[in-house]
Amino acid sequence: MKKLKFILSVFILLVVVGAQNFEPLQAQTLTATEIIKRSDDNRRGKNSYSEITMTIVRPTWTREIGIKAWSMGTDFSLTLITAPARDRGQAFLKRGRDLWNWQPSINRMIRMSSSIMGQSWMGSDFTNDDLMRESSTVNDYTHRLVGTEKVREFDCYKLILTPKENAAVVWGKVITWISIKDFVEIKSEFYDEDDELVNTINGYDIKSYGNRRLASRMEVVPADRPNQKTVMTVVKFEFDIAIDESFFSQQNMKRVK
Amino acid sequence: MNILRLAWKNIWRNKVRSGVILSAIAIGLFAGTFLLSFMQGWILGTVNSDIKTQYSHVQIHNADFLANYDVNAFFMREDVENEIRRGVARNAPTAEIAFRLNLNGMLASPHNAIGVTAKGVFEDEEILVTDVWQQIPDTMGVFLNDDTRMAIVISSRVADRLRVRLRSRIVFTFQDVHGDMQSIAFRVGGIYRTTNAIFDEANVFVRYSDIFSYTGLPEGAVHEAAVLLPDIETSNIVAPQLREMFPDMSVQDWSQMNPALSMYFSYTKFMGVVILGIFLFALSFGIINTMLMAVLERTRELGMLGAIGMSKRQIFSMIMLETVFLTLLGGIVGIILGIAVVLPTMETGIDLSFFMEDQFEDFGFASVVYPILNIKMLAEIVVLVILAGILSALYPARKALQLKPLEAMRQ
Repeated sequence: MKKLKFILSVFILLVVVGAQNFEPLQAQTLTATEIIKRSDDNRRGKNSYSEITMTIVRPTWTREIGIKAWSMGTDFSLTLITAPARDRGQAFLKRGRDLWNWQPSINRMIRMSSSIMGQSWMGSDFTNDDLMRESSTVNDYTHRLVGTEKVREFDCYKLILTPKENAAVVWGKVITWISIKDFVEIKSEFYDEDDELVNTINGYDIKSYGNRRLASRMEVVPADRPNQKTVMTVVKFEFDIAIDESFFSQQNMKRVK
Repeated sequence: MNILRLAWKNIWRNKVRSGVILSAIAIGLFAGTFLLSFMQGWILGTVNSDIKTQYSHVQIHNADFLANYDVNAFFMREDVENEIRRGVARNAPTAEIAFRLNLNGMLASPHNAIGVTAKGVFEDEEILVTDVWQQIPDTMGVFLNDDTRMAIVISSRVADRLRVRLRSRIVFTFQDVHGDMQSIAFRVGGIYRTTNAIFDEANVFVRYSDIFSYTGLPEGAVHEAAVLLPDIETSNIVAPQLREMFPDMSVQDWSQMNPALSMYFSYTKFMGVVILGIFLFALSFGIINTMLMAVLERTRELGMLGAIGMSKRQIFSMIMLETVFLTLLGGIVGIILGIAVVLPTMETGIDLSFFMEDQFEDFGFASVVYPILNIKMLAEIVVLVILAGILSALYPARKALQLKPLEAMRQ
């Protein structure tokens, strides 16, 4: 009888403590930084191959650019332009911190110097720098979870990222919404130091690629230029493909198809 | 002597006619003097301000540096510093020297990104060599000499393009000695504005100590030594000496660093004389006309002078002297007027910006001009005036010579 009472009380204790612990447990494990990390891991595969259509929308015209991209970790990537015909065959190679551009039309390999990193990439709302530098959302910012919010149809964590003092980040702050279910970046707003909105990135149409969930369409909308945006639509995304470092070479830039 | 007096008196026989041509010459010479001193002041002001903000008198680089501003083309400060100081000590003991890193890269804000050259400077010696620190308005921060961490000094033109203000964070990206990209966050610590838009858009300043560790250069490495001397004349002496002392390095004086500017410099001097020449050429037609009238009017009188024994040479020199007096007098009045107008503006300067706005500055010329007068220039003007007088006297004087005394008297 005494023994039963003991077991019972232990059981009750466990239930009570467990019940108390269960809810906060999830909130505790998912700190702001962990949310960012999961979203980041989700996006970043070890090796990947993708086919993307980039649509540049301007007030008076739009332009579609076909892209094939291979990547290995964060250090190696090769990007090939497949359309329009005028730009076909142009390739961008990133090895570590070097960026090269192969221009078949003039038969030249151009090393992209730091001074042109700020220029627009292929006329889009991305700069060369955006493609080149993986400024780390995980390491360069301090993260603060400010609650949950519904963005379009998604329930999201709302996080405010503030760059660390010495981080080489131009933004004053970044507000990002990450879906609770899939850890997909649904929306990010980039502000300058006067809290003025500069860019917005929206993610649409979440799809599964292998065991990952990603937004298959992303829109970059500059705040100060009306009727202007760049849309990236994922046609194909393969993760963990077999590829090695030798693929990311200047020779390969010229012959890759 | 008598002829001198005679010529002088003759001028004043027809006061209106002489007065008119005198005024014409005076106004022409006034304009010429003013224009010359204005142009000289303008170009010298531009040269000196470029030397003060940008070039200094002499710059020394690694011989490979100027080919493509390679970050690897450095030299060691300690290797050359004492030698340079020794080299300039003889002719310019007051010379100042600044050492710098010179890094090309991209400066990015949330709104924009532009290519710039970042100068990694030792702020204490930099303020003695360049005057960029003086071009920072009081409310616009300071030239790196406060305790702002990772401070960067940019121009107002760069600030506008990046849409940043004092204390804004901007990121500078450049390639280090290994070719790796380095990105560093800076805070805007000062915003300057010089009269040279081209310079402003290309140059930002950071502390040597802040940026050095990112470059991967060996301790004490620099790209550039800038030497400021008392004046251009000293520079013409010191630059060749330094060139001899550092045969393996590139030693350039201001005129080599900016050949266009040095070309303007000589060109303006030359153009000044040409313009004055054209002025005088036009004026000499007026003088010829006046003197010809004087001669034709006085046919009887000249014939009489010949008849009573004045030689042809004397008549010739009389007409010549009349013309030269007239021209010289007009010229001197004009020059004095010119000096009178230039003198007060030499200190205060003439501000052109009210009708040209920044157009001059966009091309690197100062919009406030401080005219310059010098004895050599004035002497040149006087010589030109006398020359014009003599040349324009030839024809009327020859006309006077052709008169036959008897026929002339009979008219």
